Amino acid sequence: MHDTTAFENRLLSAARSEVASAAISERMSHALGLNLATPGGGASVGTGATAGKAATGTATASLTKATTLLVLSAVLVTAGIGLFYRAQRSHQGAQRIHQEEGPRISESLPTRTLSPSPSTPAQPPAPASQPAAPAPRLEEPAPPRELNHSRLSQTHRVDLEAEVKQEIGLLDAARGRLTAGQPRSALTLLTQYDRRFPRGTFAPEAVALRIEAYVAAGDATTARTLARRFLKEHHESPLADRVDHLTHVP
Amino acid sequence: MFRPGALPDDARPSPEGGAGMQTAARERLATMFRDHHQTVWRTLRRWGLDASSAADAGQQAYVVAAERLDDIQRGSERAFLLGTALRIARANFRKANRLQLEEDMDLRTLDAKAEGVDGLSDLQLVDLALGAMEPSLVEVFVLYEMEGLSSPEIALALTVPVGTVASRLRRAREGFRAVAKRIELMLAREGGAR
Repeated sequence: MHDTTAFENRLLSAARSEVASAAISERMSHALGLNLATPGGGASVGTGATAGKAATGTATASLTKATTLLVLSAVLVTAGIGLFYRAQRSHQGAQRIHQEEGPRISESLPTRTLSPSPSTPAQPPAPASQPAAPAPRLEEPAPPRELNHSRLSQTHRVDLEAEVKQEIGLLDAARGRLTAGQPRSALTLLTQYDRRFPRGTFAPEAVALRIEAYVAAGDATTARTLARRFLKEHHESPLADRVDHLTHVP
Repeated sequence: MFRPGALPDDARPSPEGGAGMQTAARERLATMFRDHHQTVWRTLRRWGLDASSAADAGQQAYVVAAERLDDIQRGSERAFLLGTALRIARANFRKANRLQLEEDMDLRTLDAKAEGVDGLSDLQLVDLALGAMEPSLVEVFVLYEMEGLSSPEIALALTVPVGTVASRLRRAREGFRAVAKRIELMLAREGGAR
């Protein structure tokens, strides 16, 4: 039993009770072209079941408030979507371990209704092993490049956007080859990526994909070497756990 | 591939094609917005963003969802949105509004930041506590204890193994307890037995 103090409960209750104001909700929905009505003001907008009562307005196609930052950030995130789906597959076989963790702190509190958690159908994770192949040259990964506000100047905006799309296209192609059981071909594409984008926005993603390709190609030694370097340089990256899991780096 | 202005009206055509599917896509996105935008926004707030930045980052997550709507498995919309929103936050708001900590938790830093805690609201105290914890622990703690996600759903959102969620949750609970206790003592010391 996970016992909590009254003070902890007070803090958690305060955290759960915060809601976006009606103005915030409308700003978000209008920016998406959804134009959703928000009856009852901010305190009742979109919280669990009550949100479903909001009326759906006529959608407009224009992205009225989406800034270039928004667009490029969205592009940035799409690079991680592949990882999301790989992880989705790998977690489909996972069993719920709620009992091992004990009850939520919040279970002892009067709480608002939360939408039910979706269940994940059980499926075995896809095998990743491939026949061993000669190890190619271990290439030095390029340092990651930050995509930040300062890079989003008018001058570079268009070029950067096109470049980011090209990067994603190449990484998507490499990921496709890897998924198709062609790790050597994926590595070739990743080498092209490194040459074309030595300071690519998605350089960490490229390295993680390269590590996965080496694992799939049976070159565990190279994969581990790259993984150690990756975990040292990108230990805070959301990819770190994935890389660690791939190679079981000590 | 993401296209500027790619909203539901511009959604990629499905195999069936036609405006009907576009409407269906838009309605699905609208449902996702109604059901989850508060959770997304609140999670980003607890992650450390102010109200406006949380709205911006949450909005970006929905733009990504609009683009990838066909790829989002039914039932995993919330995990997709939360995972995407947190990735956006990490990429664009890296520790901008967070305490700068090197370790999981630094009570000395908390002490320095928390002078005058008696004047803070409970919500500000929560953010003070979470700000003293390592971000990856905060994410799991908020999603599990405050937003009610299951461990597999959190694992899906954060693309980490379920076992990692469990270990982070355990550490997060320990951290939150220690920080909350410290804040409570501060309140008592300042005569703020509210």
